[in-house]
Amino acid sequence: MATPVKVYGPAMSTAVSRVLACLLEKNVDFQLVPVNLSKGEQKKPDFRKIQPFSQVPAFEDEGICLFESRAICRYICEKYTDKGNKGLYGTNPVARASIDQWLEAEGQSFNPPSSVLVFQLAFAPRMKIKQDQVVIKQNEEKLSKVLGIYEKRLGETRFLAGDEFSLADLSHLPNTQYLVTTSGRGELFTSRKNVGRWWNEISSRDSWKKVVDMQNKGA
Amino acid sequence: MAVKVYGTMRSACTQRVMACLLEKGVDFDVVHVDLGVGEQKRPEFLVRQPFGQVPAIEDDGFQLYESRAIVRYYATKYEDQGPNLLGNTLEERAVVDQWLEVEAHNFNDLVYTLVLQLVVLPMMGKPGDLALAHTCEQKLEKVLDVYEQRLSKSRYLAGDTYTLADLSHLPGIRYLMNEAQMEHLVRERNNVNSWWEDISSRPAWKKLLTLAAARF
Repeated sequence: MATPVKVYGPAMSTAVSRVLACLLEKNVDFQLVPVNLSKGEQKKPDFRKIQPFSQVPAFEDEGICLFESRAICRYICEKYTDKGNKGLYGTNPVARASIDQWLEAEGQSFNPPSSVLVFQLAFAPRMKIKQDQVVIKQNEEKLSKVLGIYEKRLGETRFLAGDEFSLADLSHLPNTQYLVTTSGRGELFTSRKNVGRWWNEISSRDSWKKVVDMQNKGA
Repeated sequence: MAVKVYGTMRSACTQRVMACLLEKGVDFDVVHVDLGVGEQKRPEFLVRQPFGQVPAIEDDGFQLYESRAIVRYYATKYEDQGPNLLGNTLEERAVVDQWLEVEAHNFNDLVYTLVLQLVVLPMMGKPGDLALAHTCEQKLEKVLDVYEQRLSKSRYLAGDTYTLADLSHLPGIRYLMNEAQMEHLVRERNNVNSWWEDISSRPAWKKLLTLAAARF
């Protein structure tokens, strides 16, 4: 029987890969439905029915359609509590609050500058768009400040929200993968002892390796 | 023991937390953090919130920051007290979360930049970037068009009851309509306008404005 769980969007999209990582951590079977971004498929009326902001990913499961990758991840954790990594979204309210705090920090402080850098350094060249060096410098400085805070935190705890790998760490995988491997600015992460250690640990997880594999195969 | 909310009554993010606590009838005290003198960047505060931002809460030793994490925590902790801000089923809760994320990622940045350029920088005697403000306004028009469509199908963003998803928009829209003088963004859209009228007349929000006026 085909799985009811569908993710719409290409694996190379950072937000799509966030959801894929979560599904793989939770051992939830899914079907990846391609959306051709370069042809503007996400702006067409059919797609806008499932994601009215013309963004990827969109997501379906039995009885639900959802968008926003972090909301999708939380749903997957709640729906499939007993599957795969059971502690991914915390097993009590206090643990969950800490995970939400760092998920918000990722969304509000880490994601903005890192997304800009991913676009400028990893995507713009392949899309033949001219890079903006002023924008790159500004966002490197912002990201550097954020990583300084992470360096301190990761000297106190093994992972961001505590001593277990959680959604908060997972949420950082997509942008960091591009920055460390493709952008030529990997030292932002690797030159920091605790951040470097943390990155090595979270990026060696089987679930993330599978996502990277899907990205490399052009899924 | 009352929850301590470290922040300021003017800060949109502090207001987000206050609105939630008021809806749920949870006692709190605002411990004022003087942003004007950079109190939030001082070492004593950075211990509490390492990004140097408000708000942060302390509740009988339990500490938390990031307003949207704080409201999720209290809406869950006091699920059975006051209005249910989360939704009843797993699916309903996921849709609430979806629209909270929309506010955080599609709406908030645009409002923040607009208010920074049109209100905050001029107040500090610095020139705002009008072109940037205009770009944000145009992008907000498109976002609110999606809201207009959505609110033609349900009374509130996540369904037919008021939830965290709606609450989260209150502080930003208030700034847009007042200090930023962008009332037209709301008024020109029937459904968005009705929704705004509804959510902004809730007693908890009105109480917040009274508390804030006493400090403004």
